[in-house]
Amino acid sequence: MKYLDFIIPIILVIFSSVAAILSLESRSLVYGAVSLAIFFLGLSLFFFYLGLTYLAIFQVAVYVGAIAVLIMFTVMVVGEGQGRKRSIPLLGMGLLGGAIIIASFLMGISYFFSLPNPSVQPSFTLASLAKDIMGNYGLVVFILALLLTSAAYGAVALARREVEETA
Amino acid sequence: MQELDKDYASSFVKYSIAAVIILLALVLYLIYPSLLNIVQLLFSNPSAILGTTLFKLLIFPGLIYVSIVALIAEWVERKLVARIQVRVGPFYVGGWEGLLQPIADLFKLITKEIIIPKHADKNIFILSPILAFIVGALPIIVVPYSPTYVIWDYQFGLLLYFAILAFYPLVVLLAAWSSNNKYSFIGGLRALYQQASYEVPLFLAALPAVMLAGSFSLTAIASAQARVWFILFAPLSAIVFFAGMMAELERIPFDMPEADSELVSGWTTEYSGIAWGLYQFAAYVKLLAYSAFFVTIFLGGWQGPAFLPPLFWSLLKVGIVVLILLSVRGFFPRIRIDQLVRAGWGRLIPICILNIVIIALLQPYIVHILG
Repeated sequence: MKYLDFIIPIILVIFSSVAAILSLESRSLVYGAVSLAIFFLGLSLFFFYLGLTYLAIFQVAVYVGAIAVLIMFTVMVVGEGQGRKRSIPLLGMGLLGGAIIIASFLMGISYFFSLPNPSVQPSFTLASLAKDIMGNYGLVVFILALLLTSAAYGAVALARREVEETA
Repeated sequence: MQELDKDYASSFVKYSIAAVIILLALVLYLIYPSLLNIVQLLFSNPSAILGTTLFKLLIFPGLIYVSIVALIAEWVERKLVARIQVRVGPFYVGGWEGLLQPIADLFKLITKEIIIPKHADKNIFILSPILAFIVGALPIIVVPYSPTYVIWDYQFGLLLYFAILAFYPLVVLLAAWSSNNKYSFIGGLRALYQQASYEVPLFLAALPAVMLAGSFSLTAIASAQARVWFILFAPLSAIVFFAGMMAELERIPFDMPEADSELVSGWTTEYSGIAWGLYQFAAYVKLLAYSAFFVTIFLGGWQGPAFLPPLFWSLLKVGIVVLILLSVRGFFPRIRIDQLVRAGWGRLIPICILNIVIIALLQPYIVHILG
Protein backbone atom coordinates (compact mmCIF):
# COMPACT_ATOMS: atom_id res chain seq x y z
CA MET A 1 0.00 0.00 0.00
CA LYS A 2 3.07 2.28 0.01
CA TYR A 3 2.60 3.44 -3.60
CA LEU A 4 -0.90 4.69 -2.67
CA ASP A 5 0.81 7.44 -0.65
CA PHE A 6 2.29 8.75 -3.84
CA ILE A 7 -0.69 8.18 -6.15
CA ILE A 8 -3.47 9.67 -3.99
CA PRO A 9 -2.16 13.27 -3.91
CA ILE A 10 -1.49 13.17 -7.66
CA ILE A 11 -5.06 11.99 -8.30
CA LEU A 12 -6.37 14.71 -5.97
CA VAL A 13 -4.31 17.43 -7.68
CA ILE A 14 -5.48 16.37 -11.14
CA PHE A 15 -9.10 16.08 -9.91
CA SER A 16 -9.10 19.55 -8.33
CA SER A 17 -7.24 21.21 -11.18
CA VAL A 18 -9.55 19.75 -13.82
CA ALA A 19 -12.56 20.86 -11.79
CA ALA A 20 -11.07 24.35 -11.40
CA ILE A 21 -10.37 24.66 -15.15
CA LEU A 22 -13.89 23.40 -15.93
CA SER A 23 -15.42 25.89 -13.51
CA LEU A 24 -13.77 28.71 -15.46
CA GLU A 25 -14.12 27.32 -18.95
CA SER A 26 -17.49 25.56 -19.07
CA ARG A 27 -20.02 27.32 -21.27
CA SER A 28 -23.01 26.78 -19.00
CA LEU A 29 -22.80 28.84 -15.83
CA VAL A 30 -24.58 26.14 -13.81
CA TYR A 31 -22.01 23.55 -14.86
CA GLY A 32 -19.34 26.07 -13.91
CA ALA A 33 -20.87 26.43 -10.45
CA VAL A 34 -21.09 22.63 -10.07
CA SER A 35 -17.43 22.33 -11.06
CA LEU A 36 -16.58 24.99 -8.50
CA ALA A 37 -18.32 22.90 -5.81
CA ILE A 38 -16.37 19.83 -6.99
CA PHE A 39 -13.16 21.87 -6.86
CA PHE A 40 -13.89 22.88 -3.26
CA LEU A 41 -14.56 19.22 -2.46
CA GLY A 42 -11.24 18.22 -4.02
CA LEU A 43 -9.47 20.88 -2.01
CA SER A 44 -11.06 19.64 1.21
CA LEU A 45 -10.07 16.06 0.35
CA PHE A 46 -6.52 17.34 -0.06
CA PHE A 47 -6.66 18.96 3.38
CA PHE A 48 -8.05 15.69 4.72
CA TYR A 49 -5.20 13.75 3.14
CA LEU A 50 -2.68 16.12 4.74
CA GLY A 51 -4.25 15.45 8.15
CA LEU A 52 -5.87 18.89 8.51
CA THR A 53 -9.26 17.37 9.26
CA TYR A 54 -10.70 20.39 11.04
CA LEU A 55 -9.89 22.64 8.09
CA ALA A 56 -11.23 20.05 5.64
CA ILE A 57 -14.58 19.82 7.41
CA PHE A 58 -14.99 23.58 7.47
CA GLN A 59 -13.94 23.78 3.83
CA VAL A 60 -16.84 21.45 3.01
CA ALA A 61 -19.37 23.04 5.37
CA VAL A 62 -18.68 26.65 4.38
CA TYR A 63 -17.51 26.52 0.78
CA VAL A 64 -19.60 23.66 -0.58
CA GLY A 65 -22.54 24.01 1.77
CA ALA A 66 -22.89 27.78 1.62
CA ILE A 67 -20.81 29.54 -1.02
CA ALA A 68 -21.21 27.11 -3.92
CA VAL A 69 -24.92 26.81 -3.16
CA LEU A 70 -25.24 30.61 -3.07
CA ILE A 71 -23.49 31.00 -6.44
CA MET A 72 -25.60 28.24 -7.97
CA PHE A 73 -28.78 29.74 -6.56
CA THR A 74 -27.90 33.16 -8.01
CA VAL A 75 -27.08 31.73 -11.42
CA MET A 76 -30.30 29.71 -11.53
CA VAL A 77 -32.54 32.56 -10.42
CA VAL A 78 -30.95 35.28 -12.56
CA GLY A 79 -30.65 33.00 -15.57
CA GLU A 80 -27.81 32.04 -17.82
CA GLY A 81 -27.86 35.27 -19.86
CA GLN A 82 -26.01 35.55 -23.15
CA GLY A 83 -23.56 32.75 -23.78
CA ARG A 84 -19.96 33.91 -23.71
CA LYS A 85 -18.00 33.86 -26.93
CA ARG A 86 -15.02 31.59 -26.54
CA SER A 87 -11.77 33.19 -27.58
CA ILE A 88 -9.15 30.68 -28.67
CA PRO A 89 -6.07 32.63 -27.41
CA LEU A 90 -7.63 33.00 -23.95
CA LEU A 91 -8.55 29.32 -23.88
CA GLY A 92 -5.00 28.43 -24.85
CA MET A 93 -3.60 30.69 -22.16
CA GLY A 94 -5.99 29.19 -19.62
CA LEU A 95 -4.99 25.65 -20.51
CA LEU A 96 -1.31 26.60 -20.44
CA GLY A 97 -1.73 28.25 -17.04
CA GLY A 98 -3.62 25.21 -15.76
CA ALA A 99 -0.90 22.89 -17.04
CA ILE A 100 1.77 25.01 -15.32
CA ILE A 101 -0.20 24.94 -12.05
CA ILE A 102 -0.67 21.16 -12.25
CA ALA A 103 3.02 20.66 -13.07
CA SER A 104 4.14 22.86 -10.18
CA PHE A 105 1.82 21.00 -7.78
CA LEU A 106 3.21 17.67 -8.96
CA MET A 107 6.76 18.94 -8.53
CA GLY A 108 5.83 20.15 -5.05
CA ILE A 109 4.44 16.75 -4.17
CA SER A 110 7.48 14.90 -5.42
CA TYR A 111 9.66 17.34 -3.44
CA PHE A 112 7.46 16.72 -0.38
CA PHE A 113 8.00 12.99 -0.66
CA SER A 114 11.74 13.35 -1.12
CA LEU A 115 11.97 14.97 2.33
CA PRO A 116 12.56 12.73 5.38
CA ASN A 117 9.44 12.12 7.46
CA PRO A 118 8.97 14.67 10.24
CA SER A 119 9.31 12.83 13.54
CA VAL A 120 7.36 15.35 15.66
CA GLN A 121 3.67 15.75 14.88
CA PRO A 122 2.32 19.22 15.71
CA SER A 123 -0.30 18.93 18.42
CA PHE A 124 -2.93 21.51 19.30
CA THR A 125 -6.28 21.71 21.01
CA LEU A 126 -9.32 23.66 19.93
CA ALA A 127 -9.00 25.94 22.96
CA SER A 128 -5.38 26.82 22.12
CA LEU A 129 -6.40 27.41 18.50
CA ALA A 130 -9.14 29.80 19.60
CA LYS A 131 -6.74 31.60 21.95
CA ASP A 132 -4.19 31.95 19.15
CA ILE A 133 -6.75 33.33 16.71
CA MET A 134 -8.11 35.86 19.18
CA GLY A 135 -4.80 36.63 20.91
CA ASN A 136 -1.51 36.28 19.03
CA TYR A 137 -3.01 36.54 15.58
CA GLY A 138 -5.77 38.99 16.49
CA LEU A 139 -4.32 41.74 14.30
CA VAL A 140 -4.11 39.40 11.30
CA VAL A 141 -7.73 38.37 11.77
CA PHE A 142 -8.70 42.04 12.04
CA ILE A 143 -6.87 42.95 8.81
CA LEU A 144 -8.43 39.96 7.04
CA ALA A 145 -11.85 41.12 8.20
CA LEU A 146 -11.15 44.60 6.78
CA LEU A 147 -10.03 43.02 3.51
CA LEU A 148 -13.22 40.98 3.29
CA THR A 149 -15.33 44.03 4.06
CA SER A 150 -13.61 46.05 1.33
CA ALA A 151 -14.14 43.11 -1.06
CA ALA A 152 -17.83 43.12 -0.17
CA TYR A 153 -18.00 46.91 -0.79
CA GLY A 154 -16.22 46.39 -4.11
CA ALA A 155 -18.73 43.72 -5.11
CA VAL A 156 -21.62 46.03 -4.22
CA ALA A 157 -20.04 48.86 -6.24
CA LEU A 158 -19.53 46.61 -9.26
CA ALA A 159 -23.08 45.30 -9.10
CA ARG A 160 -24.48 48.84 -8.82
CA ARG A 161 -22.63 50.12 -11.85
CA GLU A 162 -24.01 47.28 -13.92
CA VAL A 163 -27.57 48.14 -12.86
CA GLU A 164 -27.05 51.78 -13.90
CA GLU A 165 -25.73 50.72 -17.30
CA THR A 166 -28.65 48.48 -18.09
CA ALA A 167 -31.29 50.89 -16.81
CA MET B 1 -46.44 17.39 -22.02
CA GLN B 2 -42.75 16.85 -22.54
CA GLU B 3 -41.55 14.17 -24.89
CA LEU B 4 -39.36 11.29 -23.88
CA ASP B 5 -35.77 10.76 -24.85
CA LYS B 6 -35.45 6.99 -24.99
CA ASP B 7 -32.09 6.85 -26.79
CA TYR B 8 -30.44 8.77 -24.03
CA ALA B 9 -32.02 6.57 -21.35
CA SER B 10 -30.85 3.33 -23.00
CA SER B 11 -27.31 4.61 -23.60
CA PHE B 12 -27.27 5.89 -20.05
CA VAL B 13 -28.20 2.42 -18.80
CA LYS B 14 -25.32 0.89 -20.78
CA TYR B 15 -22.78 3.39 -19.48
CA SER B 16 -24.00 3.12 -15.94
CA ILE B 17 -23.80 -0.70 -16.03
CA ALA B 18 -20.20 -0.40 -17.26
CA ALA B 19 -19.42 2.15 -14.55
CA VAL B 20 -20.99 -0.05 -11.86
CA ILE B 21 -18.94 -3.07 -13.01
CA ILE B 22 -15.71 -1.04 -12.91
CA LEU B 23 -16.60 0.39 -9.49
CA LEU B 24 -17.47 -3.06 -8.14
CA ALA B 25 -14.14 -4.44 -9.37
CA LEU B 26 -12.33 -1.54 -7.66
CA VAL B 27 -14.27 -1.98 -4.42
CA LEU B 28 -13.66 -5.74 -4.48
CA TYR B 29 -9.94 -5.10 -4.97
CA LEU B 30 -9.87 -2.67 -2.05
CA ILE B 31 -11.89 -4.79 0.39
CA TYR B 32 -10.32 -8.11 -0.66
CA PRO B 33 -8.02 -8.31 2.41
CA SER B 34 -10.84 -7.62 4.86
CA LEU B 35 -13.11 -10.04 2.99
CA LEU B 36 -10.43 -12.70 3.31
CA ASN B 37 -10.15 -11.84 7.00
CA ILE B 38 -13.91 -12.32 7.45
CA VAL B 39 -13.82 -15.71 5.71
CA GLN B 40 -10.99 -16.79 8.03
CA LEU B 41 -12.92 -15.52 11.07
CA LEU B 42 -15.98 -17.47 9.90
CA PHE B 43 -14.12 -20.71 10.59
CA SER B 44 -12.10 -19.68 13.64
CA ASN B 45 -14.15 -17.13 15.64
CA PRO B 46 -17.60 -16.33 14.14
CA SER B 47 -18.62 -13.84 16.83
CA ALA B 48 -15.63 -11.61 16.01
CA ILE B 49 -17.16 -10.89 12.58
CA LEU B 50 -19.59 -8.48 14.27
CA GLY B 51 -16.67 -6.20 15.14
CA THR B 52 -15.14 -5.90 11.66
CA THR B 53 -15.54 -2.59 9.83
CA LEU B 54 -16.85 -4.29 6.71
CA PHE B 55 -19.68 -5.92 8.67
CA LYS B 56 -20.55 -2.60 10.30
CA LEU B 57 -20.48 -0.78 6.98
CA LEU B 58 -22.58 -3.29 5.06
CA ILE B 59 -24.93 -4.79 7.65
CA PHE B 60 -25.21 -3.07 11.04
CA PRO B 61 -25.38 -0.10 11.53
CA GLY B 62 -24.70 0.29 7.82
CA LEU B 63 -26.46 -0.30 4.56
CA ILE B 64 -28.71 -3.31 5.14
CA TYR B 65 -29.97 -2.14 8.55
CA VAL B 66 -30.72 1.30 7.12
CA SER B 67 -32.55 -0.17 4.12
CA ILE B 68 -34.71 -2.42 6.29
CA VAL B 69 -35.53 0.45 8.65
CA ALA B 70 -36.43 2.66 5.67
CA LEU B 71 -38.85 0.00 4.36
CA ILE B 72 -40.40 -0.55 7.80
CA ALA B 73 -40.66 3.21 8.41
CA GLU B 74 -42.58 3.63 5.16
CA TRP B 75 -45.15 1.03 6.24
CA VAL B 76 -45.36 2.38 9.80
CA GLU B 77 -45.83 5.91 8.54
CA ARG B 78 -48.66 5.02 6.16
CA LYS B 79 -50.41 2.81 8.70
CA LEU B 80 -49.96 5.19 11.64
CA VAL B 81 -51.10 8.31 9.78
CA ALA B 82 -54.03 6.36 8.33
CA ARG B 83 -55.14 5.26 11.81
CA ILE B 84 -54.74 8.82 13.18
CA GLN B 85 -56.94 10.12 10.38
CA VAL B 86 -59.48 7.24 10.70
CA ARG B 87 -58.50 5.57 7.43
CA VAL B 88 -57.34 2.00 6.81
CA GLY B 89 -53.98 2.49 5.06
CA PRO B 90 -52.13 -0.43 3.42
CA PHE B 91 -54.31 -3.51 3.79
CA TYR B 92 -54.00 -6.27 1.17
CA VAL B 93 -50.35 -7.09 0.35
CA GLY B 94 -48.74 -9.54 2.75
CA GLY B 95 -51.77 -10.82 4.63
CA TRP B 96 -51.58 -8.99 7.96
CA GLU B 97 -52.36 -5.26 7.68
CA GLY B 98 -50.53 -4.85 4.36
CA LEU B 99 -47.16 -5.57 5.93
CA LEU B 100 -45.41 -6.29 2.63
CA GLN B 101 -46.69 -3.13 0.93
CA PRO B 102 -43.25 -1.38 0.94
CA ILE B 103 -41.66 -4.37 -0.80
CA ALA B 104 -44.43 -4.38 -3.41
CA ASP B 105 -43.84 -0.64 -3.88
CA LEU B 106 -40.11 -1.26 -4.26
CA PHE B 107 -40.65 -3.86 -7.00
CA LYS B 108 -43.12 -1.60 -8.74
CA LEU B 109 -40.65 1.29 -8.73
CA ILE B 110 -37.76 -0.86 -9.96
CA THR B 111 -39.77 -2.19 -12.91
CA LYS B 112 -41.14 1.20 -13.94
CA GLU B 113 -39.55 3.23 -16.71
CA ILE B 114 -37.42 6.24 -15.77
CA ILE B 115 -38.83 9.05 -17.88
CA ILE B 116 -36.38 11.81 -18.79
CA PRO B 117 -38.08 15.01 -20.05
CA LYS B 118 -36.71 16.04 -23.43
CA HIS B 119 -35.44 19.49 -22.46
CA ALA B 120 -34.10 18.43 -19.08
CA ASP B 121 -30.39 18.61 -18.35
CA LYS B 122 -29.94 14.86 -18.66
CA ASN B 123 -26.59 14.35 -16.93
CA ILE B 124 -27.57 16.24 -13.79
CA PHE B 125 -31.11 14.84 -13.92
CA ILE B 126 -29.82 11.27 -13.66
CA LEU B 127 -26.93 12.06 -11.34
CA SER B 128 -28.87 13.89 -8.65
CA PRO B 129 -30.99 10.96 -7.28
CA ILE B 130 -27.79 8.90 -6.94
CA LEU B 131 -26.08 11.82 -5.19
CA ALA B 132 -29.11 12.31 -2.94
CA PHE B 133 -28.96 8.66 -1.92
CA ILE B 134 -25.23 8.85 -1.17
CA VAL B 135 -25.43 12.16 0.72
CA GLY B 136 -28.50 11.01 2.68
CA ALA B 137 -26.91 7.70 3.69
CA LEU B 138 -23.37 8.91 4.43
CA PRO B 139 -23.99 10.59 7.85
CA ILE B 140 -24.80 7.21 9.45
CA ILE B 141 -21.10 6.36 9.45
CA VAL B 142 -20.40 8.66 12.42
CA VAL B 143 -23.55 8.02 14.51
CA PRO B 144 -22.91 5.51 17.31
CA TYR B 145 -25.42 2.85 18.41
CA SER B 146 -23.26 1.50 21.22
CA PRO B 147 -19.58 1.93 22.21
CA THR B 148 -18.66 -0.74 19.65
CA TYR B 149 -21.37 -0.35 17.01
CA VAL B 150 -20.11 2.80 15.33
CA ILE B 151 -18.62 2.60 11.85
CA TRP B 152 -16.15 5.46 12.22
CA ASP B 153 -15.55 6.75 15.75
CA TYR B 154 -14.26 10.09 14.55
CA GLN B 155 -12.81 12.88 16.67
CA PHE B 156 -14.88 15.55 14.87
CA GLY B 157 -17.92 13.35 14.21
CA LEU B 158 -20.49 16.05 14.97
CA LEU B 159 -18.87 18.50 12.57
CA LEU B 160 -18.52 15.84 9.89
CA TYR B 161 -22.21 15.00 10.26
CA PHE B 162 -23.23 18.60 9.56
CA ALA B 163 -20.63 18.95 6.79
CA ILE B 164 -22.06 15.94 4.94
CA LEU B 165 -25.63 17.16 5.33
CA ALA B 166 -24.59 20.57 3.99
CA PHE B 167 -24.39 18.88 0.57
CA TYR B 168 -28.07 18.00 0.50
CA PRO B 169 -29.48 21.43 -0.53
CA LEU B 170 -26.99 21.44 -3.42
CA VAL B 171 -28.33 18.11 -4.66
CA VAL B 172 -31.94 19.26 -4.28
CA LEU B 173 -31.25 22.48 -6.16
CA LEU B 174 -29.54 20.59 -8.99
CA ALA B 175 -32.42 18.12 -9.23
CA ALA B 176 -34.95 20.95 -9.32
CA TRP B 177 -33.06 22.96 -11.92
CA SER B 178 -32.29 20.03 -14.21
CA SER B 179 -35.97 18.96 -14.42
CA ASN B 180 -36.79 22.08 -16.49
CA ASN B 181 -40.17 22.39 -14.83
CA LYS B 182 -41.43 25.44 -12.98
CA TYR B 183 -43.04 23.43 -10.17
CA SER B 184 -39.80 21.54 -9.63
CA PHE B 185 -37.82 24.77 -9.60
CA ILE B 186 -40.14 26.54 -7.16
CA GLY B 187 -40.02 23.47 -4.93
CA GLY B 188 -36.23 23.39 -5.17
CA LEU B 189 -35.93 27.05 -4.19
CA ARG B 190 -38.23 26.49 -1.23
CA ALA B 191 -36.16 23.48 -0.18
CA LEU B 192 -33.02 25.58 -0.42
CA TYR B 193 -34.49 28.40 1.68
CA GLN B 194 -35.66 25.90 4.24
CA GLN B 195 -32.61 23.68 4.49
CA ALA B 196 -30.04 26.47 4.27
CA SER B 197 -31.76 28.64 6.89
CA TYR B 198 -32.41 25.75 9.29
CA GLU B 199 -28.84 24.47 9.25
CA VAL B 200 -27.86 27.40 11.50
CA PRO B 201 -30.34 26.73 14.36
CA LEU B 202 -29.65 22.98 14.06
CA PHE B 203 -25.94 23.48 14.58
CA LEU B 204 -26.47 26.03 17.36
CA ALA B 205 -28.89 23.64 19.08
CA ALA B 206 -26.30 20.85 18.97
CA LEU B 207 -23.60 23.07 20.51
CA PRO B 208 -24.71 22.72 24.20
CA ALA B 209 -24.01 18.99 23.96
CA VAL B 210 -20.50 19.76 22.70
CA MET B 211 -19.96 22.32 25.47
CA LEU B 212 -21.09 19.92 28.19
CA ALA B 213 -19.21 16.88 26.89
CA GLY B 214 -16.13 18.89 25.91
CA SER B 215 -15.74 16.97 22.68
CA PHE B 216 -16.93 16.89 19.08
CA SER B 217 -16.85 13.08 19.08
CA LEU B 218 -20.34 11.58 19.14
CA THR B 219 -19.28 8.57 21.22
CA ALA B 220 -17.73 10.92 23.81
CA ILE B 221 -20.94 12.99 23.89
CA ALA B 222 -23.03 9.84 24.45
CA SER B 223 -20.74 8.48 27.16
CA ALA B 224 -20.76 11.84 28.98
CA GLN B 225 -24.49 11.31 29.63
CA ALA B 226 -24.05 8.26 31.82
CA ARG B 227 -25.70 9.98 34.81
CA VAL B 228 -27.99 12.65 33.34
CA TRP B 229 -29.18 13.10 29.78
CA PHE B 230 -28.41 16.46 28.16
CA ILE B 231 -32.10 17.05 27.35
CA LEU B 232 -32.58 17.94 31.05
CA PHE B 233 -29.96 20.69 30.91
CA ALA B 234 -30.85 22.02 27.46
CA PRO B 235 -34.55 21.33 26.87
CA LEU B 236 -34.95 24.42 24.68
CA SER B 237 -32.12 23.26 22.44
CA ALA B 238 -33.74 19.85 22.14
CA ILE B 239 -37.05 21.41 21.07
CA VAL B 240 -35.29 23.68 18.57
CA PHE B 241 -33.31 20.75 17.24
CA PHE B 242 -36.48 18.71 16.83
CA ALA B 243 -38.21 21.52 14.91
CA GLY B 244 -35.14 22.11 12.76
CA MET B 245 -34.88 18.39 12.13
CA MET B 246 -38.44 18.28 10.81
CA ALA B 247 -37.76 21.29 8.59
CA GLU B 248 -34.60 19.68 7.21
CA LEU B 249 -36.48 16.45 6.55
CA GLU B 250 -39.27 18.39 4.76
CA ARG B 251 -41.94 16.71 6.83
CA ILE B 252 -45.41 18.09 7.53
CA PRO B 253 -45.89 20.84 8.84
CA PHE B 254 -42.73 21.96 7.01
CA ASP B 255 -43.32 20.22 3.68
CA MET B 256 -43.54 23.33 1.49
CA PRO B 257 -40.86 22.03 -0.92
CA GLU B 258 -43.19 19.22 -2.02
CA ALA B 259 -46.54 20.79 -1.15
CA ASP B 260 -48.73 18.48 -3.22
CA SER B 261 -51.71 20.84 -3.36
CA GLU B 262 -49.60 23.67 -4.83
CA LEU B 263 -46.57 22.22 -6.59
CA VAL B 264 -47.71 18.76 -7.82
CA SER B 265 -44.84 17.03 -6.01
CA GLY B 266 -42.30 19.80 -5.53
CA TRP B 267 -38.77 19.23 -6.71
CA THR B 268 -39.40 15.55 -7.42
CA THR B 269 -42.26 16.27 -9.86
CA GLU B 270 -40.47 15.07 -13.01
CA TYR B 271 -38.93 11.99 -11.44
CA SER B 272 -40.39 8.54 -11.91
CA GLY B 273 -39.53 4.91 -11.27
CA ILE B 274 -36.57 4.06 -9.10
CA ALA B 275 -35.09 7.57 -9.51
CA TRP B 276 -38.03 8.85 -7.47
CA GLY B 277 -37.67 5.81 -5.22
CA LEU B 278 -34.07 6.80 -4.48
CA TYR B 279 -35.28 10.20 -3.28
CA GLN B 280 -37.86 8.59 -1.02
CA PHE B 281 -35.25 6.17 0.27
CA ALA B 282 -32.83 9.03 0.92
CA ALA B 283 -35.57 10.86 2.85
CA TYR B 284 -36.18 7.89 5.16
CA VAL B 285 -32.47 7.26 5.64
CA LYS B 286 -32.01 10.92 6.55
CA LEU B 287 -34.89 10.55 9.00
CA LEU B 288 -33.15 7.63 10.65
CA ALA B 289 -29.80 9.45 10.69
CA TYR B 290 -31.33 12.54 12.30
CA SER B 291 -33.22 10.48 14.87
CA ALA B 292 -30.09 8.56 15.85
CA PHE B 293 -28.19 11.85 16.05
CA PHE B 294 -30.88 13.38 18.26
CA VAL B 295 -30.79 10.35 20.55
CA THR B 296 -26.99 10.55 20.73
CA ILE B 297 -26.71 14.21 21.65
CA PHE B 298 -29.83 14.69 23.82
CA LEU B 299 -31.22 11.34 24.98
CA GLY B 300 -28.04 9.68 26.19
CA GLY B 301 -27.33 7.43 23.22
CA TRP B 302 -26.97 3.86 24.44
CA GLN B 303 -27.19 4.78 28.16
CA GLY B 304 -29.89 2.99 30.15
CA PRO B 305 -30.46 0.52 32.99
CA ALA B 306 -27.79 -2.17 32.88
CA PHE B 307 -30.08 -5.24 32.84
CA LEU B 308 -30.41 -4.93 29.06
CA PRO B 309 -27.55 -4.43 26.54
CA PRO B 310 -26.67 -0.86 25.36
CA LEU B 311 -27.69 -1.73 21.81
CA PHE B 312 -31.27 -2.40 22.98
CA TRP B 313 -31.57 1.02 24.62
CA SER B 314 -30.22 2.93 21.65
CA LEU B 315 -32.49 1.05 19.21
CA LEU B 316 -35.49 1.62 21.51
CA LYS B 317 -34.83 5.36 21.79
CA VAL B 318 -34.23 5.73 18.05
CA GLY B 319 -37.45 3.84 17.40
CA ILE B 320 -39.44 6.12 19.71
CA VAL B 321 -38.00 9.29 18.14
CA VAL B 322 -38.74 7.95 14.64
CA LEU B 323 -42.31 7.14 15.70
CA ILE B 324 -42.85 10.67 17.08
CA LEU B 325 -41.40 12.18 13.89
CA LEU B 326 -43.69 10.02 11.75
CA SER B 327 -46.85 10.60 13.78
CA VAL B 328 -46.52 14.42 13.69
CA ARG B 329 -47.55 14.16 10.05
CA GLY B 330 -51.06 13.13 11.05
CA PHE B 331 -51.81 16.18 13.20
CA PHE B 332 -50.68 19.41 11.59
CA PRO B 333 -51.54 21.50 8.52
CA ARG B 334 -48.82 23.03 6.36
CA ILE B 335 -47.44 26.48 7.23
CA ARG B 336 -46.25 29.11 4.73
CA ILE B 337 -42.64 29.43 3.61
CA ASP B 338 -42.29 33.02 4.88
CA GLN B 339 -43.60 31.97 8.31
CA LEU B 340 -41.08 29.15 8.35
CA VAL B 341 -38.08 31.28 7.41
CA ARG B 342 -39.12 34.06 9.82
CA ALA B 343 -39.53 31.54 12.64
CA GLY B 344 -36.11 30.09 11.85
CA TRP B 345 -34.15 33.34 11.79
CA GLY B 346 -36.28 35.35 14.20
CA ARG B 347 -37.21 32.85 16.91
CA LEU B 348 -35.15 29.67 16.84
CA ILE B 349 -31.71 31.27 16.48
CA PRO B 350 -32.20 33.76 19.40
CA ILE B 351 -33.54 30.90 21.55
CA CYS B 352 -30.47 28.83 20.68
CA ILE B 353 -28.06 31.65 21.48
CA LEU B 354 -29.84 32.32 24.78
CA ASN B 355 -29.57 28.65 25.62
CA ILE B 356 -25.87 28.58 24.74
CA VAL B 357 -25.27 31.56 27.08
CA ILE B 358 -27.18 29.81 29.91
CA ILE B 359 -25.22 26.60 29.41
CA ALA B 360 -21.94 28.52 29.30
CA LEU B 361 -22.75 30.20 32.65
CA LEU B 362 -23.90 26.99 34.33
CA GLN B 363 -21.25 24.74 32.80
CA PRO B 364 -19.00 24.37 35.91
CA TYR B 365 -21.98 23.19 38.02
CA ILE B 366 -23.35 20.89 35.33
CA VAL B 367 -19.95 19.29 34.75
CA HIS B 368 -19.87 18.66 38.51
CA ILE B 369 -23.27 16.92 38.30
CA LEU B 370 -22.17 14.89 35.26
CA GLY B 371 -19.23 13.63 37.26
